[in-house]
Amino acid sequence: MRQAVILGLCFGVLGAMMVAPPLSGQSGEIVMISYAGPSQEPHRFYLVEPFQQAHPGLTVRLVPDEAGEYVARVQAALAASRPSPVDLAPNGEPPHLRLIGLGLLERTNTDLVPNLKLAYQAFVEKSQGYGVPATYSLIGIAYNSQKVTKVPTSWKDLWDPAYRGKVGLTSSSSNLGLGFLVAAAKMNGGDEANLEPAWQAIRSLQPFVIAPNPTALAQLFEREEIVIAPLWSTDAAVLASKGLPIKFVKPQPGAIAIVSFLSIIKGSQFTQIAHELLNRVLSEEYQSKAAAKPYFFGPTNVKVAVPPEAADYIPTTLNEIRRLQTVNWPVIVPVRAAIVERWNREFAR
Amino acid sequence: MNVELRGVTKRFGETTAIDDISYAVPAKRLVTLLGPSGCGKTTLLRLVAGFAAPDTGDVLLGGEVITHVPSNQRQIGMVFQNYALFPHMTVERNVSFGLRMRHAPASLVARRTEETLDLVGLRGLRDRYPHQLSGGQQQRAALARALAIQPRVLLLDEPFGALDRKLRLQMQVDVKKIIRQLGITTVFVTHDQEEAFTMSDLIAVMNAGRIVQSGAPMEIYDKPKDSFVADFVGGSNFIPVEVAEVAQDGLNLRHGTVVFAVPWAADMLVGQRAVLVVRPENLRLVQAGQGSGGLAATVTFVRPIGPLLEFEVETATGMRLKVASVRARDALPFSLGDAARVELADPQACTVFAV
Amino acid sequence: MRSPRVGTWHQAELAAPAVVFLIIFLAIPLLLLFAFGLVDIRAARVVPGSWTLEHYARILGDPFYYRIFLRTFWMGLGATIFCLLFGYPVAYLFTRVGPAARQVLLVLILAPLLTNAVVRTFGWMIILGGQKGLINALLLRVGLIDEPVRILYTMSGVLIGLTQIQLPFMILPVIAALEGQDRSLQEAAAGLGATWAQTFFHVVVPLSMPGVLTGSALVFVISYTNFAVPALLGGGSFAVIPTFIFEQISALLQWNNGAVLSSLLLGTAMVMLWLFNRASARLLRWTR
Ligand SMILES: Nc1ncnc2c1ncn2[C@@H]1O[C@H](COP(=O)(O)OP(=O)(O)OP(=O)(O)O)[C@@H](O)[C@H]1O
Ligand SMILES: [Mg+2]
Repeated sequence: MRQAVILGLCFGVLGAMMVAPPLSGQSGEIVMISYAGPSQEPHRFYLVEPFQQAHPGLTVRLVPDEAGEYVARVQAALAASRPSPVDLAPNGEPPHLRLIGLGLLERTNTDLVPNLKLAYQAFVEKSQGYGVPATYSLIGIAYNSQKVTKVPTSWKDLWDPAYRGKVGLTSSSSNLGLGFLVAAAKMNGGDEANLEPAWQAIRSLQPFVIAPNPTALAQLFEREEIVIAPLWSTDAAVLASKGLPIKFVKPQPGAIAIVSFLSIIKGSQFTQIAHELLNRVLSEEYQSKAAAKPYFFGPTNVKVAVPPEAADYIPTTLNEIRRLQTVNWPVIVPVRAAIVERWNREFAR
Repeated sequence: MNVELRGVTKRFGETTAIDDISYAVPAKRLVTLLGPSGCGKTTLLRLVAGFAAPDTGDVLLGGEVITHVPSNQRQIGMVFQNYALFPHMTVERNVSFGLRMRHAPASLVARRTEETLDLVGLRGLRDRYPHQLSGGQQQRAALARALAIQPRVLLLDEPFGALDRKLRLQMQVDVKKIIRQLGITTVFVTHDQEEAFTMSDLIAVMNAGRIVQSGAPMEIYDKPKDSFVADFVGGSNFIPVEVAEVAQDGLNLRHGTVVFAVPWAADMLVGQRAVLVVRPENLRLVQAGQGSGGLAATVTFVRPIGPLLEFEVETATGMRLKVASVRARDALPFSLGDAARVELADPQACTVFAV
Repeated sequence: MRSPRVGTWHQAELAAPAVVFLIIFLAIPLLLLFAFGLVDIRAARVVPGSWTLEHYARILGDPFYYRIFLRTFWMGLGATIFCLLFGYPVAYLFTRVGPAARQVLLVLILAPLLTNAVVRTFGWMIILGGQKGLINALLLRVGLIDEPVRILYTMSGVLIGLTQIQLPFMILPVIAALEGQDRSLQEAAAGLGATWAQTFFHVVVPLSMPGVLTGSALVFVISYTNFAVPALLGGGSFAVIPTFIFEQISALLQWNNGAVLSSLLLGTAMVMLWLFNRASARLLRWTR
């Protein structure tokens, strides 16, 4: 009899745990996806902290996730009619488009984001009405200036036999990998719709080191596992700020610029208040801090000037901005799964 | 081959397990170490086998000092108290183990294993694992394994301890026969005196790490050197006495008002205190009313064990004595609570120790 | 004495909560997992009435996955062999030393279970990573190599990591088996003329087989299905099934592929365990 009671209690508690809504919804905790490592600092210091001061009782938890691992969790929660476990997330253009397609982003209520008027309209257009263009970063070449004596100028320099086995890449499931794939295609006479030349070229780049994500790729520089790699300008800047001999170049015919949109996730219980975070991310205050040393995130606010020491990482002149390569993401995004599969079949070891 | 210990001492921390023992086991004889639990019997075997090294003294085998020869080079066969058969090997593999480890030629291994299995009667069970054997069969397998290496000396540590009484008696006879047939020097350990008598050419009685007496079994029984041996081997009654008279051809010993006359001289003084040691079978119960002399007593326990009758009586002087007699058919002359007199049956067969 | 019937009933009653727990939290999820491979899943939602064998057929018909399963198998086997090679001597040492040394050894043995994943990952980076890694520094210093070898992001690195965290699962059962051994068996062997090595290989090792087999089964299964280590130390595109499942679900939202691969991973692990158990039973005929 007593056993039955205890058993009943156990199941009661378990049941309650499963049925009860997640505690985060009630305690006022907003969950926001962020970058890993030091790149997370602008979010923490210049976005979350001022926000929390303005709203005592509300906390924002930053969760590092560079590979969009949260998406599956959101999808699963929505499928089970539960609130999303994630409220906001920054996404580069490719996943931004993908998430719009999957219906996982909340449309932006422009009334609640007055700072949108200060953003470059070209970037705002790219957002397709979801989220706000928070920053942009470049994909260029990072290299160890002690091991690489000839300053690279073009993507082609990655294929220099001198660096064989010391080239780092990330798989094409990351934006970095995807961007590099497109760059390699264009350089070899292909384009977004014809990636075959890229596959050929990357095959001839073997053996190279494949990092699971951009942060890990940056770590490989630290440990001197690699001497040269396509990398985010922001990650290269952080490495350099640590005193490592890492330099960043915007290669010919041009670095690839990818805008990062901060968006509210479907199923969030904080859609209203989260808009304030979208507004804050566009503020001059945040934008200027994120564009400053050592992060060098490209500012999307027209009023924020690029600091001079950022010249290595962010285009400063109109000419430079013109030379930036953009990718026709709407062509790439629908076939992303196939690209990843191809990558695995080609290079998975 | 003879085994000899010279001034051997072995300590474990505070306990002295072997206390300065010097003793020689003659070649081709079976010597039994007899002693109570914890007296150092196993330790002594382990010193001979080389599983432990003495703190002082030497172990000799065939006149050669082997104190520091590792056990795997001594060629001494040992049967352990718990058999220590290799559980993961069949009987055959167990028996052939020693030969195989010595890299004996396959044909020799096969032949010797066969012979040894035959010797102990385990031929039919060669493919069984130890856990598929009865206690007696395990015992035989352990013996066969020790014999297969043709040991120079055989050591048996309470080999029958785990067997039931009937099987134990059978195994005693079987093993004794095998050993005699092989003519192998054997040291046998037991704390069971009957077993010692059945098996031994010689008995060495141990107590507290020392060998207190050694000799032929009957000699030990009839002429115990001290009261420990008298008590441990065969059991005895200890009657406290005072020397009443010392004569040329005997002693008169007084216990209370009763005087026992023993017909042999001893180096004792009148008035000295002593104990008269009497085996139970050397005491006789007589009806209280008949004859005279002896100790008045009451029967406090009767134990009819087959051919024998054992009584426990309490004398008027408050002493408990054991009395044993051959049981006459159908007769149970004394029963519980009967009054009786206790007499010496054969004064010749008593021993006196001064105290 | 209680009749066997009553005894059984009481046992069943005692086991009931555990059985219910297992059904709710193990059996049902497993069946669901298997079933998820047999329906179409879109946006994490099962498409009603879409029973199909297509997903299993697609994966089972693709030699690419066979290669990855094989690699996963080698990873598990390699970790098991290394754990045995390194773990056995440690377990043996443990049974030979005094109580004080045992305490120290036990802490060392259990340490991998006590450190958290972040610390461990950081440690691995320092030990395995690049020219500055401890292993490379050591090999260079000793002169075994002239140039740093790549360990991080290779199968070797993964095996080193797996071995390190899986060691306790090998060492502990082996210690148990060695501790249970009757010391007099080793004396018996020596008395019969066996050298130390002969005693070790003919008596000590065979008698510890129950522990070795238990440890091996544990380490194999945990390694075969391990995600964290290949994900951290294998680098991007390190192709073993657990990392593949993760990519399929989290990066590609291919729930069907994930479900099929998960079921196959689990199924193959169970089949291998079963085969292993049958083989062990033959090897351990001598136990009761
Ligand atoms: N390894 C050891 N460490 C400490 N003390 C020991 C050890 N081996 C034996 N002793 C002690 O030495 C004494 C003799 O032990 P031993 O085993 O030789 O007795 P035994 O005569 O064989 O007894 P039993 O008839 O019970 O087998 C005992 O007091 C025992 O406690
Ligand atoms: Mg003993």
